[in-house]
Amino acid sequence: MAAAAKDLLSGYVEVYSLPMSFYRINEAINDPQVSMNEIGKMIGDDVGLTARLLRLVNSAYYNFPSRIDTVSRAVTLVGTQQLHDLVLSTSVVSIFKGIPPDLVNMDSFWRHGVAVGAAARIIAKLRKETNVERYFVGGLLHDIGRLIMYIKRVDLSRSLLNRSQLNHELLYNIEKEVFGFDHGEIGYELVSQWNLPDSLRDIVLNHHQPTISQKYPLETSIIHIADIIAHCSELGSSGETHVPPLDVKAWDLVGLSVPDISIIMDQIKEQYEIALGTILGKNGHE
Amino acid sequence: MGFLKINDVKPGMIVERDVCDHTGNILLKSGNEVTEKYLRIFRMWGIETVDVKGIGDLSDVQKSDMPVIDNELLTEAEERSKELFCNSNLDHPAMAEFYRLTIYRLAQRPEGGN
Repeated sequence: MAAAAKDLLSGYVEVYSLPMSFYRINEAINDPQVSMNEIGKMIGDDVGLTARLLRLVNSAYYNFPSRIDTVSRAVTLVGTQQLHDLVLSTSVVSIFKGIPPDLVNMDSFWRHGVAVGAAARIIAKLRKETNVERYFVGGLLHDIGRLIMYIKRVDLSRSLLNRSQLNHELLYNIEKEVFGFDHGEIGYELVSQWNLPDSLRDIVLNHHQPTISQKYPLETSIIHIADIIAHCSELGSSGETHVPPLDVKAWDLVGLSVPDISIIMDQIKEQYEIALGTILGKNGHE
Repeated sequence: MGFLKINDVKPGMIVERDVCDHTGNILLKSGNEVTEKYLRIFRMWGIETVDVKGIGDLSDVQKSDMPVIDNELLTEAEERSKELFCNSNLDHPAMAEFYRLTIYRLAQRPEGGN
């Protein structure tokens, strides 16, 4: 029920809004009149962003022959989509800092997001998609709705998680029963409030039923499969202890073959480790 | 070895052993993929069950190109994987492959987790 999901968010939007710096930098990135130099300066003003950008550009993901030490150089090398995604991921992670660990294991939550993001990117590359970076962000944010549920309804969430583990039920299936909506719906409300692109909203809303998506069935299906991969690999957790079922139509739409699976599984650990460093900071810890 | 009734066999599955008609002629050799065309052929010949790879078969996890894994580790890994996958559709060949690779990963790292 969209109304119930909206209710859960109302009054807490201010606490969970993206920082103004995100919108300012994003606008600058999208403005063809703004030079890379100016964008570099804006990023340079933010310590956290600077650190992550430099870590990203010097990581094995790019494999540049020599070390890059300046933001100005780094922004010219990573491309606008990457830059946008980096700023978005950094902003989102920063919002949820300081949540008590007995409530939510944020480290584990983001690790799962990074794993899904890394897997989605591998799948996109295999399919020779252009602009594979947006898949990473989709993966990172797909379960964001769960965070709001855990934070805003502590007791309800605890009983949900207990029941799921006790009865071996999929968390996703019982969310609607217990909350009245699922983490896709509330996540959708959140990323819509954040004015994030439609494709991201669709991914967040529909990743468990990907072919329902009207406009982005392919992107959503890729995240759906990536989610399964992350669960199989047991890299982090957003609360679900079981591997979700595979949507058959999604599998057919993405067009992977069974032999592709071991290719993807071979790469996931390494890609996950590389991405973790840039999202969570040094040694993979915030 | 997983013997499936013909109606449960889906295109994409790999046959464990040769599928033969009643005269002994090989319709599809082992290791090959079942396609829609072959499903039709099997039905035409009255084939009732097909031995397919990957349905809860431990020996299937141990492919010839992989290093040998201790049987006990394999069994423990299978137990853990069954729990992980208890809500998944293992009858789908892709899911079966995810399952197989998970068992293999767990069998190599008995302490679990990543």
